[in-house]
Amino acid sequence: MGESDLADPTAWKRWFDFFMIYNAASDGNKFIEGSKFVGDDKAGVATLQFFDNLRKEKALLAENVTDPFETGVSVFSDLGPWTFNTWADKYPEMKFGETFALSAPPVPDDVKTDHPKTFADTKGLVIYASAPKEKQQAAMDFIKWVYSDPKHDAQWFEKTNLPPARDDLTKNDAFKPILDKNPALKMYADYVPYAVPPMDNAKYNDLQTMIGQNGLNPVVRGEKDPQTGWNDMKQAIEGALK
Amino acid sequence: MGTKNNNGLGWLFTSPYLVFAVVFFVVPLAWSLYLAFTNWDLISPDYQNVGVANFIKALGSPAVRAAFFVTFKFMVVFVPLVTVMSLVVAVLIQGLPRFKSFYMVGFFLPYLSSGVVASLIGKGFLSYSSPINVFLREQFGLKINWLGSPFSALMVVSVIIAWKFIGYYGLILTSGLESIGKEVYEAAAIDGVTETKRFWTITLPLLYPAIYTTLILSVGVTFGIFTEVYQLTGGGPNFATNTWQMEIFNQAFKNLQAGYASAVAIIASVVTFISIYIIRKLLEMWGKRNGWV
Repeated sequence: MGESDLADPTAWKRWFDFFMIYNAASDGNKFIEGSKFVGDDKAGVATLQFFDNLRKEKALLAENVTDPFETGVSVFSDLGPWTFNTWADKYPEMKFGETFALSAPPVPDDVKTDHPKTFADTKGLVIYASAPKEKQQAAMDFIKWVYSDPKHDAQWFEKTNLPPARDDLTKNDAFKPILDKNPALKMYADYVPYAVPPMDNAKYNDLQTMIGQNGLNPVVRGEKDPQTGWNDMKQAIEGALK
Repeated sequence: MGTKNNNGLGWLFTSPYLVFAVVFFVVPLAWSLYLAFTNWDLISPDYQNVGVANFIKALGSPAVRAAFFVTFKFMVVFVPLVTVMSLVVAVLIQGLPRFKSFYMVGFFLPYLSSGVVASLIGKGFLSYSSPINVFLREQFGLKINWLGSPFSALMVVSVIIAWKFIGYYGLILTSGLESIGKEVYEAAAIDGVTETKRFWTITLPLLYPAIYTTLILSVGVTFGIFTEVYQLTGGGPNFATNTWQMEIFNQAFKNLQAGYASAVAIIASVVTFISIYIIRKLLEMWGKRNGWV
């Protein structure tokens, strides 16, 4: 696996390494509930252990490398559905089923492999409280209209290639033609009901930076063992939540 | 005498700069001073006065502490590097028989180029799969994580910034060299002074005002490093390249703590002001002690 991001403490990067594995290991544990840390210790250590094992086996390249998967430097990588739009322009030779295959993220030993929980990069909708009431109402009306008909989601899906986060994605006929045309996206659609959204805490940026700085980053650099990394991360997060 | 008219004309001609300074310096500075005492999150219209809480938090922050020391580390690497290299460029260009301007423009071009582009090119050069790294690994067994170790990351950023500024400072030093009369060198040559001694006893002392300028400018640059660090390391690894500007940006635009970021910015300004003042005094003492001023 080649990812300079693994050694980078930037908060959002944890969605695509730490949480992707942790959500599977903990079967979708919430991690933060309100202003309380409720992370699953066993799953957390197992997650860091997974990266540490890759490092020990020299299967991890946590340094500056350009498009490692696409150029053949690494044999596996985490991909989001947005990757396919980039590939269409930059790496047209990347063809699903021919040059690459998709699978659910790896899971620690003794964790179910059939549809494990994973991370969902869902997007939230924000309406400013300071906006005039009529504008807030207009925004709400628009959102209601968008969600009133699956055809609107289908239209958006078709334009962007980004699957909407709805549990009926594989069952609803509105999406069938799009998924038939893009078989690589079928797998993402199939996992939507098993996907865990990001933590809903106002301090998420600080908290996720701490996961990197105190846990994942030093573990992938071989500076901390997984248990110490998890303990330090937990202590930092609990301190920040006080 | 028409003093009143002259005053009016003076104000008129300086007004574009005055307006610019008020809009882009004075107002933001006053606004930043005000924000530093609030908990504004950059978005919400509501915020409270928190007194000096932001300053207390900043003074205890490991990231701010890192920014303080990282700036001086950059200074130790970048200032001598850029000064020596720009002096070399200036001396080389001065010695050229022809096409001086052509070569000077060549060295000056990086200064006009975008820091983002330079950083991205640098990142590509230092990528694990770049030709240079493949060559080092295959021929010498050298596996260097250029941006992943604190020392090399600092060096890489310093070299990229130095590359950008060498031509600019070289231009200042070249004009300093041009102002030294040829007769001084001729007199020294007649007296049998060697070329090396001429450099140390004639060129360097007479170039002191230009060197002083470039040193102060380059020290100032170290307090403003952002683009290269943002593009290459994001302030890492382990805060090893976390500069003041990087920290201010992170707090204001990533953590949405505009009030706190303003407090960090004010601390950064004070540190910058004091540091440049001390360095200026030291440089003046150096010049006076050697009789160059």
